[in-house]
Amino acid sequence: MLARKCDDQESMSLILLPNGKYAEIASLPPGQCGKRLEALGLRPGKKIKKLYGMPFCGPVTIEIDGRQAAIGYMAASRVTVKLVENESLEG
Amino acid sequence: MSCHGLFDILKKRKTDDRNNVNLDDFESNTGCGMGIHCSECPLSFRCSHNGNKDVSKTTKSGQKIKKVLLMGNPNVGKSAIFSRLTGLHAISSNYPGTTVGFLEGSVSIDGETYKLIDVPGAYTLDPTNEAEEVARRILDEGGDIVVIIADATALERNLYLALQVLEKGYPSVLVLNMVDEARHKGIHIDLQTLERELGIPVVSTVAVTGEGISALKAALAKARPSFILPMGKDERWLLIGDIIMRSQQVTHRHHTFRDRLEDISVHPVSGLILSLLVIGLSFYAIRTIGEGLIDYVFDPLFDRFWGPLLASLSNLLGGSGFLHDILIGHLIDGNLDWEQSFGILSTGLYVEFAMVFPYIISFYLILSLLEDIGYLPRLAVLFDALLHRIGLHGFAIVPTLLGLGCNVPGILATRVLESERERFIAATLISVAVPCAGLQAMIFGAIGSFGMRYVVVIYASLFLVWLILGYVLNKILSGQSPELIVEIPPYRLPSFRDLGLKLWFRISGFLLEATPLVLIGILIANLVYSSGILPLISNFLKPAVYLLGLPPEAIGAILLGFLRKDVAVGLLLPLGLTPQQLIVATVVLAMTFPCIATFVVLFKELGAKRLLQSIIIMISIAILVGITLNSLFSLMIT
Repeated sequence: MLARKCDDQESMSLILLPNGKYAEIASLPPGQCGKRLEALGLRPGKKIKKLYGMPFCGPVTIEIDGRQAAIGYMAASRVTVKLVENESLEG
Repeated sequence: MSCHGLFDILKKRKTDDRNNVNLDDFESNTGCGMGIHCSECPLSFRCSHNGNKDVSKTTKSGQKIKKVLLMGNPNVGKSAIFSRLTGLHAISSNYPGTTVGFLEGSVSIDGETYKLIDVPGAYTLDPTNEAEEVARRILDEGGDIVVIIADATALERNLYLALQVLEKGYPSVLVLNMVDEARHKGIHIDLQTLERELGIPVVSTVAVTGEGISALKAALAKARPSFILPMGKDERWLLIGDIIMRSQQVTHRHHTFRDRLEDISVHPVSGLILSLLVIGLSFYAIRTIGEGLIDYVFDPLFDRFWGPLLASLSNLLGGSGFLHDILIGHLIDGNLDWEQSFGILSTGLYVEFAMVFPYIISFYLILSLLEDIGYLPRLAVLFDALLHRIGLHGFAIVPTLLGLGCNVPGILATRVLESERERFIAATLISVAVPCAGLQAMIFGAIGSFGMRYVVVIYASLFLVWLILGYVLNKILSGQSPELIVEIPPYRLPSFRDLGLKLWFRISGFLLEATPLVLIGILIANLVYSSGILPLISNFLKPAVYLLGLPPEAIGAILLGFLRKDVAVGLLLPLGLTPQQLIVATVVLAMTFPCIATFVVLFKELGAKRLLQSIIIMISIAILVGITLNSLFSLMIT
């Protein structure tokens, strides 16, 4: 398990993903919060684009399945993502 | 993984048990009359309360009525399809969660009668909020046919709920709504493939234009259960991926102006500038349209037609006397004065129709426009950080804006918020610090004539109280408010038919509900003044008089605000108060005890205990702010 982790690309919080970058969801928070995120189509492996992070701990806006969604700061901080270099949401 | 291997097992699934639904049970829980005024809702909301018991189970010819559930994710156009099918109007807007309760209507197709239920939007049958709980409960209670409505631009996510529903084995039809938008986005969905993959009829529609509605009607008769069996979450997503791969093609397209506008709207800097522009322009438009209606339509109507009629009636009644005073009011220098005579037929009608009603029209016109374009969820994103400081999240901006029209729909809309804590904070803040359009019209009409700076003081006081009270409530109430997690719908050009219907629905609701209360308010005020009770209670009011610097009559007017707050401002006008006194009185009036319609809906939404807490907060804040303002003004004078 540890060995695999080293091979993995580094995952980070959605908050830290730079604006305009594409990423793959690595993990969602457990519980109700994760369920609500799933309802928006987020799940591990899903590709998203981060649009903006609002100042003063405001929400993060992302593009998923061709549309925008907003995720509050605390929820977004508990979503981990892996940066992907291929700059498109297809595939 | 593919589901085709499961086909044979699935075919054996028995679905007969779904077809014997006990309608009696269902109706005793939920019977509701679409289009019929509900006795529990103060504002003619077509709602999910027990308003109508006459929904019969069979038609005259003895045929069974089929119960059809319209289900789907939030904001996929369920209400629009419901309206198209039934011809009844359900309020639809371009943001998720417009329908929290549910609506019923019926439609007859080829001799078959269907009872349609517009189920609140749900992303999943494992409820994450109240609307989803309601949806889940309605589905569990059963139906003869489930029409699953999916947004063609986001089929993948929409299929999750669709599969969950199909797994239950109800005869179903899948509707791909908004195919025009999908085409525009370069998304092509092959209906035949989808039908094959899901095992149910699939039709495509554009609900706002009516495209595909007749195909949907025809498909109802062909509804059948799917072969899809219950499965786990991961399995379901795999199956969805498989179905999407087979049935959907996405072609690349260039960014359009709309994409750019959507991007600008949520950008931290340009989005904020745009929002200030939108809010400023909306405010300007509401004022201009409202004033235009008053100056060019309602004032001339009253002056040229109603005035002379009342003057003859006044002569007929002999120019004075009890009946004259009640109906026409007191003549001022031998003439009628619309604002000060205070008869039911003079000031009563004038306050409602020439001062408040024009602003109701202009407010709801602009709000409905913003709703249908899809701007409100963007505001939720921009204001989330601020609203978090007062224990709410960004989406609370929607009930708050609705509350600026009338507190009742505002408080009903707090149901879109997830936790009880949030709903309590939001409902209390709306009742305390969000003035309804009627009150605002009077603030502008009556106090604005002394100078706009007085109006600014009133709004600033309300806004400050909104911020401070929210901050304090967030600190003292236990628990934490949930996070904003919301999808932002694309901008859409509103359909003028739907916009017109929604506007009509809202303003006719206002007229039906407000008229009797305004007239009763004026009647009571007249009776109180002419009966000589006021001097008797004014002793009792002395502390308030002293602390707020208002005459006893003004306190009486504020108390009558329980009926309608706009009438209460009308009562303040003939008292000859200074602008400072008017500010104190109006602010106290706005914050204190809610009007009767708001009171009823608060009781229903919060329950007795929370209502009591909320009212104690309202009264103490009102008195506190009133005293503060009064002392500030007296300091400024000395």
